[in-house]
Amino acid sequence: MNNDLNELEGRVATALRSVASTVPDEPPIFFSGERGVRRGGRHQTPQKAQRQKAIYRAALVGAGAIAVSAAILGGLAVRAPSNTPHTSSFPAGHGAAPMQPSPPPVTIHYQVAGYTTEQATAAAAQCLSAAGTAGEQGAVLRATFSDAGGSTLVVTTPSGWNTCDASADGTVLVADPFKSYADAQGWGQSASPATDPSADWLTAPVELDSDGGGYLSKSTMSDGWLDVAVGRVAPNITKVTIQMPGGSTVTASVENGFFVARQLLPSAPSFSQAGTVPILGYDSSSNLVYDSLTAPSALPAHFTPTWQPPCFVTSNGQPVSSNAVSGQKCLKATAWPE
Amino acid sequence: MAESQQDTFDVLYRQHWAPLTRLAWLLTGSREVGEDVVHDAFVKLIPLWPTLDVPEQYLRRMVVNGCRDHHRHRGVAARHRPPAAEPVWNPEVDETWAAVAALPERQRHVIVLRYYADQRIDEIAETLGCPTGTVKSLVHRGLAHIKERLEP
Repeated sequence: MNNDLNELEGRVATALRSVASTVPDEPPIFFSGERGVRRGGRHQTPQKAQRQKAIYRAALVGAGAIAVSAAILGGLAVRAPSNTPHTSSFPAGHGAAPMQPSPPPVTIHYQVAGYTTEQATAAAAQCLSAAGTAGEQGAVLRATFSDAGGSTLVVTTPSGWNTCDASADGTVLVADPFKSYADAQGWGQSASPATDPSADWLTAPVELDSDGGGYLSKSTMSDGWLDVAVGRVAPNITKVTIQMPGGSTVTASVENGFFVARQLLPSAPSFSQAGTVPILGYDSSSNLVYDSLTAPSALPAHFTPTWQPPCFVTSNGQPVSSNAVSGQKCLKATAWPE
Repeated sequence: MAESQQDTFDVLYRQHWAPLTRLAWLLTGSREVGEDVVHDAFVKLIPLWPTLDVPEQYLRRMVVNGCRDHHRHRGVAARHRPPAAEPVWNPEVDETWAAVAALPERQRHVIVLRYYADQRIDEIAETLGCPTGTVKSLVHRGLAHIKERLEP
């Protein structure tokens, strides 16, 4: 009897060690405090594996006025028709608190991996619907980008909404948050107040999204380093080019008033974001409409310690925000087309 | 995080990523989930890093807790899990691992902690926050289930 038990215990121990031994000693190529990109499940058809090779991303672009806090930087769980479950949570704590006197809007960027665009889009729609049912109104799927490099969903949210994982069907599809380039590049570097003073107003024909007013990035488990730039454009802008970390210029995808540019590098470039991101906007006739390096007041001075939330006025001078400090020069803005 | 602290953190990460990932895989039954749990544990460690005397213990505890938390969300996920555990090396190992992976979560946890992590019964009880008698019972029932499944 005891021999049988000892034999069974030994067999269990051997099996557990054998299984565990397949995990390599070497950790993933880079650990940034961000979750890496994952492939789809291991049991795939070649076609499915090929389809899932692309990296899918979802970007949530803040549009309201809620302070960023640790709690809202958790994972986004949405549902897809079928796939491997993927848990996620991302604690905040990177970067210093914004210096603005009023609560900033929230910008959260997420990444999903291993899903087709259709799956991710359907899942996001279900997620948003569930959020609305739960009283978290206002989150809207704005655009879906898809190209050879992957797919990006852009969702705007008026608050810290970030989760909906209570669907009755389907698999948990989890989108992981992106962080601003400065945050992701160096733990504890405080260069990116996550604020979006122009959430409802464009102060330039082309605007990078808020989260530091610059690039977003992640390390990836198997692919290296992923950079993304997300922003909005005025209706007359049909083409956007942007210089990415490392120096290459990328043509962004433009859709529904948003643009997304991305690049995948084998490793993080030697780069520290400072100043204005070089970005150009063209109209349908290929005329250069906007150059961030020459445009006056193209972006609020996010990185200066004296930064104040800008105020806005319409083209005829009517104030559209109430947070102006006495004597502050307001930015002329146009309503962002809904 | 200061540069020297980050260097030390990197060393800790390199030393403990693999052992913790192996443990988390066995506890959750999924390598992918295990990697996520370990990654989350390291991320959560960052702000606490300068204040911990023995971060290894803290990490391990966070990983075990993370694996237990994972099972709270397991209901929906389980219905869409890939059809089988990853194929391994020989039929006996495959068969035994399948039997372990099929155990109810608490039984699997104590089996893994006992026979992979080599923890004593009282250590497992402390890790899982339950009486030693419960651990003994779970080990006994877990082995019985495995044996039952392995028998022709």
